[in-house]
Amino acid sequence: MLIDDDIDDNFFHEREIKKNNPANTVITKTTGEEALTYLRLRKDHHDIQPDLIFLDINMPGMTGWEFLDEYAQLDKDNQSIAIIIMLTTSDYSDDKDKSKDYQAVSDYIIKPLTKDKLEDICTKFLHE
Amino acid sequence: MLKFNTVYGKMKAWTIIFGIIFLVLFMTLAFYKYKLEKEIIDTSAVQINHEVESLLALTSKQITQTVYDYTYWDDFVKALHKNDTSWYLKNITFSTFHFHYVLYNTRFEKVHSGSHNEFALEVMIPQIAVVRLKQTRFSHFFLATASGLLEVSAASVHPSNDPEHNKTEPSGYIFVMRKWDKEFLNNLATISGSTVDLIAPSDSAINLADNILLTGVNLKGDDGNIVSRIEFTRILSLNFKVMQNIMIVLLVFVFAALLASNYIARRVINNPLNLVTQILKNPGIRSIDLLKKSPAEFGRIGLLFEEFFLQKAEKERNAIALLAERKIKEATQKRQIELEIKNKELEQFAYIASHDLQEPLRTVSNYMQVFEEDYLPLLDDRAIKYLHSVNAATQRMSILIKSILAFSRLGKNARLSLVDCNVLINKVISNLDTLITTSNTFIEIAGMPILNVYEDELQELFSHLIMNAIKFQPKGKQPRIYIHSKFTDNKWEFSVSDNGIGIAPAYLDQVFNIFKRLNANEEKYEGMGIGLANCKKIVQLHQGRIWCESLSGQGSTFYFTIPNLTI
Repeated sequence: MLIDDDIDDNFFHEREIKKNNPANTVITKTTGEEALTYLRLRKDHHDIQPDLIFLDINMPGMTGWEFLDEYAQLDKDNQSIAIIIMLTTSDYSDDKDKSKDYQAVSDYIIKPLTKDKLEDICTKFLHE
Repeated sequence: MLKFNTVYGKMKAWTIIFGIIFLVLFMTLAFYKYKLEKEIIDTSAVQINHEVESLLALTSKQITQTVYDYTYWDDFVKALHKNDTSWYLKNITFSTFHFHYVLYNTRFEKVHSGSHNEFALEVMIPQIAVVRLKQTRFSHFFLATASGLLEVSAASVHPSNDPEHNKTEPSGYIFVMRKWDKEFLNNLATISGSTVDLIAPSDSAINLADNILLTGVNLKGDDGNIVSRIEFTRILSLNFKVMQNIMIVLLVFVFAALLASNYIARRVINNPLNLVTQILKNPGIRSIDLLKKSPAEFGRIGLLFEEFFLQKAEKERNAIALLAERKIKEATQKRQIELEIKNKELEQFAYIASHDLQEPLRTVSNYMQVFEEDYLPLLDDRAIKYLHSVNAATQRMSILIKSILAFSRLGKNARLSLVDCNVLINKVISNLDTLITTSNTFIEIAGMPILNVYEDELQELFSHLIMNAIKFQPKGKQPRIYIHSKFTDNKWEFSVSDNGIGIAPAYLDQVFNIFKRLNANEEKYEGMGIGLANCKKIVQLHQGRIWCESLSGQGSTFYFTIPNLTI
């Protein structure tokens, strides 16, 4: 699942994931609210549960951090199976440090998402 | 106009009251003295009068008694009848008293006279006096003669059975005389303790001194007229003049003392008090100086005033200085805050600008990649070359932006710590191991201190300088780098020297400017032109100075200083 307000980035990242990874489906949401709604109503709509969430920080409306706060309130089975990875332009160390305070966040990656970075994530978190 | 509500005024009032009281007392005393004096004089006068009267009475009695004793004597009567001169000579003698006598018969004829000297023979008793004696039987009077005053006592002579001289007719008459000569008067003077003078009735009274008492008795002749006057003068032993003088001196002295005390009060109390008032109302150096010269405690008060005003002036000066200092401090603080805000804004600007610039750039670079992947087979060589140029420019742009971002963030969250610079440089060298090995660089490190620095930043500084030293070398030359340090002027001065291409003197100042690149040949010396700008910022972070000395073609030396920083 990609949560990013930048449509161009989403296009490129989705393309990269599909190109390099056997992931079947990439769900793209341009706001945190949409992503949360999807996750809450996923069971009722029989939608698939995302293994991996790439989350941008700077978004209009709900920011990445606010999304993480809301996400923590969700039922366990509504949360992601695997992990959340911050995917952002900011390589500002403050943001990097802040991300470590959130248990749900597993990694912090600077845009753009490349083949190397994807492979790295796969080996790190997606063994099965 | 007297003011009694001041200390001096009150003192003056008391002085005046005291003066008045003294004057009243003095006048009482003077009045009493006058009364006493008058009483003494009057008493003395009465006393002397009495004495003189008694004395004269006593003296007269001597002669009158003698005359009386002789004049009731039968033998005397017979002798007068016979005019027996021998009997007279034999029985009538007054030599002891120095009396003289003259005898008259019933016909008033002078029959005999007797004296211890010849004086009486010359005396002429007036006929009328003898005749009058026939009636009066006794008489006592004074007689002025050419040779002096005579006291005369006379009586008629009678038989012994008629002591009162009133039963029988006189048988004759006797006149006994005493001369009030110098000797007699001297005797009177001795007895009375006075000076005795005989004064003619025509003589006018003379003025006498206060302490001289005078009393006089008129001496009358037979006819009742005043013949002469005897005066007794006595000097009063009490000297009132001295007392009067003493009182005058006392009066003068007391008033002089009052005036002096008034003067002194004005000088010692009033003038200094006026000065004190003046100083309190309107302080001035002249008044304080005058007060300091005042006598007694006021001099001390003057000194205290001086001290007080000096302290006050100093306090005021200090307050003004403090105020000025505070103003400067406030201004500095304000500027500092403004500067900090500006710096923060600038940092924020640089950060946001570089961050936000990254996004569209990334989009460009992403689409370039997509374009390459999807459409490469459709492109000819020229298009591919253009595409590469666009990629390279995008990448360069990205690096530039990242450099600005890094530059703007430099020193943020930096922490001071005690660092061994020798260890720090060795860490830098090991990080640059690949570069150093491939370029075969020689590095010498000497005399590195241990001091408080921003470790990460200083590491970056050395890293930049070493990399520059290796980079700016003529091709094929072995880079030689000397890193030294020395403690001068209370700070550490580091130097990094190389044997590289050097910098032309004209550019020495510009090398530290951001994006300043001196070498046009980009392929040969690739770089962003931000390294030395970062170095300058790091040195500034350490409150030091960085500069460069170089000769074109002979290498360059970069110096920077780091003072003792407290954590």
